[in-house]
Amino acid sequence: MTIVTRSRTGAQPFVALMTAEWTKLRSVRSWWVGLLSSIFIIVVVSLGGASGSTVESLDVTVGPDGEAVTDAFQFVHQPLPGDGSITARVGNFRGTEPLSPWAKAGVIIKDGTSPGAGYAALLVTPDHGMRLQSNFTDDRYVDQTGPADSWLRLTRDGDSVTGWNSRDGRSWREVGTVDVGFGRGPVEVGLFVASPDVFRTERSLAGSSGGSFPTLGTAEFDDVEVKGVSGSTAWASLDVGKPSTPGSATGEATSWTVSGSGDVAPLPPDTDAVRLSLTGVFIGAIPVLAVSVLLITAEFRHGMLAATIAAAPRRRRVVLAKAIVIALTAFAATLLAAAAAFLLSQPILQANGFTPPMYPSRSLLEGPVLRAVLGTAVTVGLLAVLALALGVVLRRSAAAISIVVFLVVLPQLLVAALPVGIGRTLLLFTPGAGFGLQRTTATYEHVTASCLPEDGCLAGGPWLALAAPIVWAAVGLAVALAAIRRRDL
Amino acid sequence: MSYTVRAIRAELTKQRTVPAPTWLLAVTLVALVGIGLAVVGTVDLEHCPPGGCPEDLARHSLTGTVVAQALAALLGVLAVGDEYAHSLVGTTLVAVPRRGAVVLSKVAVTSLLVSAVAVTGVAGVYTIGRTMAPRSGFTTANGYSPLDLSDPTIQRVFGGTVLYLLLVAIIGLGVALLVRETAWATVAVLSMLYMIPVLTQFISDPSWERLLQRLSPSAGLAIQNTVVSANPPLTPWAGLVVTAAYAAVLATAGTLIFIHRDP
Repeated sequence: MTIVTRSRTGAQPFVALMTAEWTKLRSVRSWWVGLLSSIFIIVVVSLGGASGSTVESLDVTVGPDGEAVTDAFQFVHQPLPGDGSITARVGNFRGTEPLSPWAKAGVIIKDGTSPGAGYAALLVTPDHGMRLQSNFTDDRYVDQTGPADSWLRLTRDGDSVTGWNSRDGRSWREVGTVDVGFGRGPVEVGLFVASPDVFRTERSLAGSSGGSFPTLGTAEFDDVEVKGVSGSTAWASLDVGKPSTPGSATGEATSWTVSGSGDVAPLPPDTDAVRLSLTGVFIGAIPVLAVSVLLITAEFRHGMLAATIAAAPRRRRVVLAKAIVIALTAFAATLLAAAAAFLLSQPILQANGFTPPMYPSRSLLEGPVLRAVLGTAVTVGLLAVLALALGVVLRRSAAAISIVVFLVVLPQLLVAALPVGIGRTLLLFTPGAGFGLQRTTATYEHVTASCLPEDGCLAGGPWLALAAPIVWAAVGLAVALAAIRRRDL
Repeated sequence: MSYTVRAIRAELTKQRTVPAPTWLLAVTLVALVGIGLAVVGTVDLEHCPPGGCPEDLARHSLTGTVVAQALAALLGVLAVGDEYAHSLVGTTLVAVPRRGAVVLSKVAVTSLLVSAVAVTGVAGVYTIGRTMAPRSGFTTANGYSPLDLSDPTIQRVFGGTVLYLLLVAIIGLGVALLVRETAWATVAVLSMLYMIPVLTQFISDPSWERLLQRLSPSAGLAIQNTVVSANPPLTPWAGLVVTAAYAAVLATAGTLIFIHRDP
């Protein structure tokens, strides 16, 4: 016979309470069935989601690091056999209305003229100032661009390229050095203009009506000076890649007018393959949440709570023990299911066209994937606490289960009927916001990409998504603790 | 007074005297009208391409059906589940020994209550659509005809929504007869209604999407379509038939099991 040790206050140690709750959870068969069916539904529905999704493998340009990129612009260039520099004054940047806020005009040193080759560029934009960018993903803010023209200079020393800027063409300020990785060999140096398509996602009632509109930017360059080339080298111009509108360049030697379309930037995928492999969680979580509710409502219904309270008179500790046990159980079950769903989905997705470079093969242990899987499990754990709290307060299984399901599932369904901005903010306040952590698509400040709330793109980025479930669970638990203490059984 | 009529009266008394059905019906009404208000009020037609968005005003003003369907199903679940929860089934069968009559009276009363609320709610949404939508840009000048109940399509949308809610309530009742446990019947019904709409948000293969939409218990929502795409997965009435088939199969199976199983 075991003797339960009691502290001086007469209360059982908290661990004993948790063990008791775990024993209850473990010994009701339908609850086990509920937990297992959650795992089953998460995996099977996720695999269904993966099987039902195909992408056409497009001919994607690949950047120097193997990533998918857009590389299309008007390039006025000449070969630079070794070290050297280019200087130019850029001004009167204008274009089609609306011109993309990320249209680019500036000087560039690029490893050849083929799309996807490494580069370093110092450029001005209509809305985002002067930037030093290299190899597509690297982007640094340098300076504001005032109403006056800007002088730009890039100097190459082997692999590294240093940017300089000036307000008057005489006093120069170093703005940064980037390592491009083109060795000591010959490169192309010159002027460029790119203006990305303006992508608009607007919501009107049901679907998202989106469209991209080609734009064309035009900039004036003068005082162009290249060092490190023989004096007789001629300028040439071409469209690198396939811009949506053909560009053009007119001028000679030191003065050019360049028009260009396209973009020089990373190309994020339309679909988040990791989130796509976790689609079952929204529905699969329902049985776990039902078990969380039943953990308390079953005791109300069968009059067992009186016995529980007689054994452990401090009621709030009982509820707290239940909360911890169910949170950990829900977390573990979801973690298992989400990890399995992710791993099993990968071969299916690859067969359906989710292949590199656009969709690199992912490992469960790499940062964003781990964050998605763990974040999903943590969110379900927190939702379980909220479900338990609703059970304590409402004392009715059907009501508590429906409310928690409504809170999680309905926003995801209804957000598609709201304008994008409102939806993105509104979804952030729902307990299911934590599933926003499933979004793994890298976001770049210098790329305008589709960002719909139902795709997990919430205001404030992934980590803020966890705030809402934490607050819902904490407030729910606080109300439940107050209720169980005050109310009669 | 005939046997069945007495059984129906007994059911009505039960539904009237427990708080849950009243609550559910009230929330159903609020969901239909409230969400209708929110959707019609926030609609944004400014960014439509020239020629207007292909918008379906009737359908979108009824967005609240997404919530109302679950509440209607719950009403069906509770009509049966509550008796099991409180072990009152035995008492019911002592009073009304013919089990078929018990199920019939539950179906009748649930249908009556859901229809009454659905008709009220749908009428509210119709009023909102008529009065508020022109202010959100749905004007004749912009190429949108106002909602008009004399239009057979509009009759089909609003009348069909009432029918759909009714069928979903019967699905709830059938599931509860099979499961005999409120909590798990709730889980089953909510999963049935929401699984496929959530899943189709993520998947991108059109043939899969069509297949799932055709198999979904909530396929009946197709009755709300007025703007019919070139090749819809389901015609409006075919969708309602899918939901009706679920209701018929589940209610029949539930009744048979209820008759032959020890309660």
